[in-house]
Amino acid sequence: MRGSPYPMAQVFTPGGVLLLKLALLGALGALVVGSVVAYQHLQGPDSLAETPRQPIPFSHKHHVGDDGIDCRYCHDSVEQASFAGIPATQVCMTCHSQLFTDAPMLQPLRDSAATGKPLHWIRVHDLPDFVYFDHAIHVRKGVGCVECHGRVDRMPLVRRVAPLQMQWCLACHRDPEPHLRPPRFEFDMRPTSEIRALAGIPKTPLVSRRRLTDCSTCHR
Amino acid sequence: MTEPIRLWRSLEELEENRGPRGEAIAMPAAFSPARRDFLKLAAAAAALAGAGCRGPVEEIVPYVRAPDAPAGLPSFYATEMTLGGLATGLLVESNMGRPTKVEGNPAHPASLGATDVFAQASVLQLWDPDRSQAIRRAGAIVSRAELESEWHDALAKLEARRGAGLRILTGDSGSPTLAAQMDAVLARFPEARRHRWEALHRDNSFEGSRLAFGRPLETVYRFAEADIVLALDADFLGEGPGHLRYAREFAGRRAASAERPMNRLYAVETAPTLAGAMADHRLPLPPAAILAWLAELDAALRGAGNATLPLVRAAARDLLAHRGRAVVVPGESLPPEAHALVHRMNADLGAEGRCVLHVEPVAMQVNCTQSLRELVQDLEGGRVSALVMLGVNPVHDAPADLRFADALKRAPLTLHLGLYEDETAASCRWHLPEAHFLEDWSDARAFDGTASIVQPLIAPLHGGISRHEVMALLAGVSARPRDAVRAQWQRRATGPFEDFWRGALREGLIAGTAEAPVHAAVRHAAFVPPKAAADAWTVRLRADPSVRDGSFANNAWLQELPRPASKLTWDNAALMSAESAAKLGAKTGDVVEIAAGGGRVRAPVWILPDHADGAVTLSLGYGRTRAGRVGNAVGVDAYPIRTAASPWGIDAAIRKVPGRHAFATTQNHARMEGRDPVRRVLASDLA
Repeated sequence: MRGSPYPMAQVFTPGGVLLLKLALLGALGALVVGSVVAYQHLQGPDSLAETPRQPIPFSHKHHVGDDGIDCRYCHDSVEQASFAGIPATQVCMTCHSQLFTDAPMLQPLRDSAATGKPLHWIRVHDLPDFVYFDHAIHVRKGVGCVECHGRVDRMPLVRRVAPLQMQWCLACHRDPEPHLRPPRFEFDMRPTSEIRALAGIPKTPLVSRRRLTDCSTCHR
Repeated sequence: MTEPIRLWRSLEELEENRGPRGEAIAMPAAFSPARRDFLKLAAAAAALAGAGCRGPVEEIVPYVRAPDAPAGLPSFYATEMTLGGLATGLLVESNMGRPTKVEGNPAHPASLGATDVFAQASVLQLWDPDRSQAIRRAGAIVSRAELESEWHDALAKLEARRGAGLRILTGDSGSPTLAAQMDAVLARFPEARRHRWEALHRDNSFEGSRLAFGRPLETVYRFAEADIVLALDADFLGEGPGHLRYAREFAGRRAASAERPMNRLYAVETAPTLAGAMADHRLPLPPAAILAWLAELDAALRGAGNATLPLVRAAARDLLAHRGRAVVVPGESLPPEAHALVHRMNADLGAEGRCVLHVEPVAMQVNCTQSLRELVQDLEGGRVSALVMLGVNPVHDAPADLRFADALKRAPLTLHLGLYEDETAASCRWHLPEAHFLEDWSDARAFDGTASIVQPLIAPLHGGISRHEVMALLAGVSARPRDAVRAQWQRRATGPFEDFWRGALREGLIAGTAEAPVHAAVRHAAFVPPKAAADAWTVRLRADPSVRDGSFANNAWLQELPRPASKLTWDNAALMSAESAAKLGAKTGDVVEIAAGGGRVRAPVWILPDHADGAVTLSLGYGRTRAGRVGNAVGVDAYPIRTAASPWGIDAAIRKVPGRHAFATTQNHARMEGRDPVRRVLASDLA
């Protein structure tokens, strides 16, 4: 029997095979390392500590911590709507038409009031668009602001303290009770444990425990 | 065990030799990654992992001056949507100044809280990025100042000639403000003329009432009063004036009570419609045979003749047994003589004043076809020096035999105002982006005459121009649309005007503006059904349930919406019965050529059970060339075979031609795929 007209040539030299094997191994290693890095990056404290550059370096520490302004003075729809509300220029001007009227820091605010052009704030707490989140129901059920937003009364520039990942949401949705506080303390900045020691454990009626972890509760 | 009844829901399922368990059809091969694809994906994954993920930076832009409603909570405003000149009351949801959802206004007589698909989809039309966004002169973007300066000069010259040669083409409109502005324009230009064109005109209805009553009258039905309804190619539940109200009234009588029996609906129609699907007795007939059936019914009602056609005797007996509580509803496709005959039938059956009312027409009713024909003749005769077209697209939808597109080239100065840079815009010197009804102030009237104010929910997104602004430009006055509407109603308001105005905006209608019914004596008109040519095909042309006359072609929600009965999406088709298709030697997906009225159309076949034999139904409004990125080249354009004389049904020659077309239909979606989570057994097996 005659062989093939094309003699079977050696395609890979032993050195080539080794190189190929090393390359494949390297690719696998890169994949593993990349995944770990990405996971760290998503989890990592870096993104939490970040304070984006805002048009005005607004200090919650000053307004909430020092002056004691209630959250709802500015975030006025937090008890009624999904969106807590970012104050209109007009709301800032209720005080700042009298106070710090020539502070250079507030020039963008005065420009906005004069021209009617709104301020463009950078969002710090940004949920993906496929998640439905409603501030009103959380506040009404006794989830304090501080539960998710942390001690904003101590933040000169607001930053994110919670990872806002699904497992973080679910941890509370699976077992909400320890995170709830009695009525009238939702806007109190003290930690929940302290409030509960002070004011007692709330008897918050939850329609259904199961509803809290249904897919369609958040992914509508 | 008895063999369970075999159920099927599409012809493909019926044809498949399936066992009683309905074994699954093989699905197309799912994603099967080849080695190369795997490596590509692995590389992409590694790249992504290395790069890490960061969300995009998002901004929050608060109000400068907040409205009363808290941010995050929607507000609702009453406004109107006008189709074919008739208004439907809406409540539109607005989230922080952006209209997001449309529902019906429960207080409005044409809505009762309901909307049709066009109102639902109107909010997507508002945000459509393909909408016209700039004023254009001969295709180039120009400023509004240039528009005004050229037209001020042109109008000054026209004024010197008392407006001779100025023509204004609009669709049907019941807007009192637009009518007053038109009067003002005609006062400045006495020789100017107004023309009307609606592709879905109602010439047959109004010519029919002219024959029956001596003048055009609008027919208003009261299905709440009707025990027996006979619909003659009339989809009164799915389209036409008042159909939302009619659907509610009709449905209200489907539940029998002690004092009111359940109503009974007879439907004689060509293609299956919503009314046909609801009918207790449905008879599919081609258009000519419907007229023969009507003539036989007329004879039977008068106790003459010997009915031979199916359902005639039963329908006649039922109608006569329910005198005063029975009504016949003629469809727009019926010729004027048939409409006149039905008016007489309804009078004889005692329906007048009870199940049927007549009111003065809401939109000024001239014969659209005649009006457009006169315009074309004047264009061809060189008697038109300036043509202004407001919200119409006649280059696409005028009757083919009028050759409007050719005639339009004879006009030296043309202006088109439209939501899209459509076929007509491309043939005009000037094109102006029109303000959407959610961006515009206006007023409108419902089918029963009820007037209401159209209020905007948002400032024009693309500098849209209102038709009231164009009319003000023509009249040589400067009046913003809101001022024009307010001025119009200041003349008619009772009591303090601001109270009246705020009340009208809040309620979405102006109480007491419905037309009072008029009593008109019916004249006797002879009706001889035309002789149907044996073996001829008839093509029934109709408004599409999703794109209407083509004006909604660029709306993806509507294109995606399965059409009633056929469940087709993103397409129109030559709908026909299995017998008709067999006669043509065609099956679903084959292509036929339809030659009629001097035009030719190639359309794919869709076999639709319960369609009348010997007729083919084709929807208007597809095959657009300048609809936008969504609507261009979807389906086939049926306008080339639509003539001025036969707008709704035309005799045609049809033959199969080579070619295949793949349809996207939802009919077979959500099958049980042989897993049968729902089982069926005969009750006798359980006993």
